[in-house]
Amino acid sequence: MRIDVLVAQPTQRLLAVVAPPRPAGPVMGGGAADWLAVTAERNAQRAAVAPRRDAWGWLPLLALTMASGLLLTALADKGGRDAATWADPVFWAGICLLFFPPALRLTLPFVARGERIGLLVTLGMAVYLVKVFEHPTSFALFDEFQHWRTAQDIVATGHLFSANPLLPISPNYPGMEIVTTALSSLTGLPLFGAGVAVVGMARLLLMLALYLLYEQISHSQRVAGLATLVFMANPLFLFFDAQFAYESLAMPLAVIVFYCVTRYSDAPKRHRAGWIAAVGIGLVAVVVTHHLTSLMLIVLLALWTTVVVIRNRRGGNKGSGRDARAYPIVGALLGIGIVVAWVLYVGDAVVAYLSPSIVNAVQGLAGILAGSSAPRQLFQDGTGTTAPIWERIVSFGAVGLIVAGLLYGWSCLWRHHRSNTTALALGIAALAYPVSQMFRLTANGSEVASRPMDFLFLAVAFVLGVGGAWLTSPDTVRWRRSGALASVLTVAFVGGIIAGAGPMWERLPGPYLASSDQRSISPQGIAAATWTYSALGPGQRFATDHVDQWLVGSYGGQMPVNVANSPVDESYLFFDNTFSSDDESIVSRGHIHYLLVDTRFSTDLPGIGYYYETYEPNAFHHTQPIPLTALTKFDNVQNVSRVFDNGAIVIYDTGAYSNG
Amino acid sequence: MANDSREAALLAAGSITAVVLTLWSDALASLAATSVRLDFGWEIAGALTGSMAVLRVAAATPLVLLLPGYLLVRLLLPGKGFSFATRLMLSLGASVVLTIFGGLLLNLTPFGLRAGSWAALLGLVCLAGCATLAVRGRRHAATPIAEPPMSRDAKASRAPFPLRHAALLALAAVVLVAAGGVAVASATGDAGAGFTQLWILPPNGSAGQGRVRLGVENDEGTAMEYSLALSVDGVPVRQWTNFVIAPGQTWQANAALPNEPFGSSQQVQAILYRADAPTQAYRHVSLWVTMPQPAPPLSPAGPAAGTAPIAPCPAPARWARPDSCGQ
Repeated sequence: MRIDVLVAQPTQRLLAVVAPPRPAGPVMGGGAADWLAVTAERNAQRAAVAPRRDAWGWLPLLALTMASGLLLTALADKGGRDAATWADPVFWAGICLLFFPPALRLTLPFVARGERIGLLVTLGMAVYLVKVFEHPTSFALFDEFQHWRTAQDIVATGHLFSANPLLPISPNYPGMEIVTTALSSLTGLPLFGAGVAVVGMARLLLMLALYLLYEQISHSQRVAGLATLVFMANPLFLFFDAQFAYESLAMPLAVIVFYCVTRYSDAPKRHRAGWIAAVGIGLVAVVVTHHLTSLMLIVLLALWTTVVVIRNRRGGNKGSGRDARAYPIVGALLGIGIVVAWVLYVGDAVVAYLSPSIVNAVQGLAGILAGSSAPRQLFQDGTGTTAPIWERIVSFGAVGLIVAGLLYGWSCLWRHHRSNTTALALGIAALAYPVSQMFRLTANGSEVASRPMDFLFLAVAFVLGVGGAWLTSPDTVRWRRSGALASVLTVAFVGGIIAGAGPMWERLPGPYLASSDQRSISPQGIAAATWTYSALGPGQRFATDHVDQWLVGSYGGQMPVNVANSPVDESYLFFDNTFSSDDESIVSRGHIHYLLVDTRFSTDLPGIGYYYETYEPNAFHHTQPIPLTALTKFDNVQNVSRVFDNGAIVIYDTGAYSNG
Repeated sequence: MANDSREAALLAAGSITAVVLTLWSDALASLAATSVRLDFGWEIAGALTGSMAVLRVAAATPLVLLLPGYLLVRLLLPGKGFSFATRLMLSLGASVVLTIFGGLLLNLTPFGLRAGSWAALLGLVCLAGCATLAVRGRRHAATPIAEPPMSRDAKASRAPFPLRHAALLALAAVVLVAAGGVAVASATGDAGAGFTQLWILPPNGSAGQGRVRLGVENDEGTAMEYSLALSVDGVPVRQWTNFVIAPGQTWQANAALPNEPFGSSQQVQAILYRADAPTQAYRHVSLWVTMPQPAPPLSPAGPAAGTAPIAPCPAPARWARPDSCGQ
């Protein structure tokens, strides 16, 4: 007898017990009752083989591989700081080692629920630590400084809603800062430490909430596991969702609210009061934490409500009865009411904040479609450097794979899930993914395309999870197929990082680069910002560049002047070789008391395409650095004092012209 | 439901401990600060504060992120037989929600969002939750809710923990700590090229009229020797030669300006030189001053009248708000 036959026999016996011939598959078949019956039968049969199995499964071993991946990314960070050429390959090796082994395990069918959840939580936290280990001692990302300022103001004043010049809307949505300052006050941790802890807790919450939501909708552990895994391929997951910013906390809260709505819809009458109370207070927390997340949650609930109404009118739920009792409309209406009440309470700044980006993106897309404007050059930074060819292929490939997966997932969802209105609503929402990618071609639409990506991926991941679970169902399980699926997911994960994190210099720490987000944060910049606080006192009006605004606004506690919070465009001060009457007017109308000039702009082009503002002269089309004579022209201006110099940063006092 | 009462008592004890530790640590921190001023007892208070920090973090973190939500879920959604994952998610989520509500509430009070008010509020919420849980436990003592049948996973999780798993997890923890160590070491060692800061400021208040404040901070990473020249409208008026500043330290001085007619506008310029390049200006700053009234005359040589070296200051922590040390 051949060895493979010997091996195959017990495997086939096991499969016969665990997976009866041609069952309904991983998701709902004809209806909930049928599916539940099959599931109960399967569970009973699986229990017979339970003693042989280990609830921890591969988790300890995979925890080791994930930790090893983290070690590689930490070494890559060190290499990046030393400008080593090996840093980038080692980073990607670490990312693949981090993601692929648990992905492979999660594509397999016979994994215990506890192990699945453990793997997902461990992987989610490990991916979070990739970001934390890049900047383990201080905030470094753009949004983090904005929210750090809000938290600093809460600590300094003991109250909410202080003006924040870095992001005026931030104090109106202080949920995350409340939790962070509470933790900081009670534990004695600095705000940075408390912020890392709060966002880490939010990541843990997100992993649990996603799994439990998908499991609640699909009643399938495999669908839930795969969908949660796919969610990690979201371009925002590695850095954006891990930063100290309001979305990082609002998203898990929104998923929990969605979960509570599904539980409420399914719950017997005597338990509904508790769930609806949970939905209500959860919605308030989401609304108080982040504007866009609350709006997207309401849109999703409204979509679900629409699907329920349509199906109930068509009599599509007579068979199951489950969705006939679904009342997502309660959540949607509650959400609308709370959003309106909050906007009335804090003011309508959110409309002014969100609408320009959306209008610009729609106009940009319309222009491209009409042929009146050219699409944005993808994979090229502000200095004209283009991403390596493999990055472009993987990034496009990831989008292509996701779109193809959506087609397959949709067919599975329609065949096996169409009586489930929640699943249908997510399926419809997933259709917005290909549309959203078109906005990436517009000059200002990248942000519009990426900001709702969390919510789009909430739906996309579910559809792909359904498709993936059917692709690797217990009847057809093959290592080769699971390996292929895990590889595809890894490509999607890597492609998501490339799309979400931007050019290589944004992914890894390293030497100073001019106007290149976190790569422009240097000890000189921090020292200058810190000096402004101690020497000049907080609250001074500063005109400075894009990155130094973060530093003087947070480390310095100053009031940076920019186009978002003042009637002038301060960038025009820095490009001419002479201090003209127009410059005097800008200083005067903007009440600009100090200018903080980074003289290194005279040697480098801006990585992000601009130095000061997106509307500055030659923004996104700079071909030469700013002449040093233009940056230091203030040396020769009567009554403008050069009060500070550290070689890289010079500060001028323009109080004589500012009226301020 | 006697279990509920026992659990409530345990949680109440935990909450009280967290509140007491928080308030005590705060009091010790205040004592340490006061002791510095009084020059007595600083070491004792400082040591106590340091030893309390870990305990405080361990006790206060659940008070913010876990206990309030856990109690709320127990009270709001009782007897649902949640899995550990579901209960953990709901407890953490509800704690965040309650903390946000607490912040909005405290904002309306004169106490504001401070350590004391947070400790009082969250402590009271937890104690109220514990009391309700205990009372409900007694009322429903006669009708205990049957435990749901143990799932396969639960059965397996109660099986003995294999040694190989413990070894693998321990190894994973070691690798994780190593990764963290590499990250922190590379980030803190990334000081970049050294630099020196020079500044010039007008006097503080009217008492110092006719003077300027000068400062030099050495961030070169090594002790540096400098010279500083001060001029008014291009005319040298003062020079400090070959003074040494230790790394991370600051040198400051107040310098009087020569008498000029009332209301005249002058440009005061300071140029810093390194000892290893004494003819090449390393940093330069300038200040436009308007003379309000006659200032004391400058001494012709020797240590400058009005020059007041300031005690060195440590560099502020990166995430902390800078203090006003040295100014």
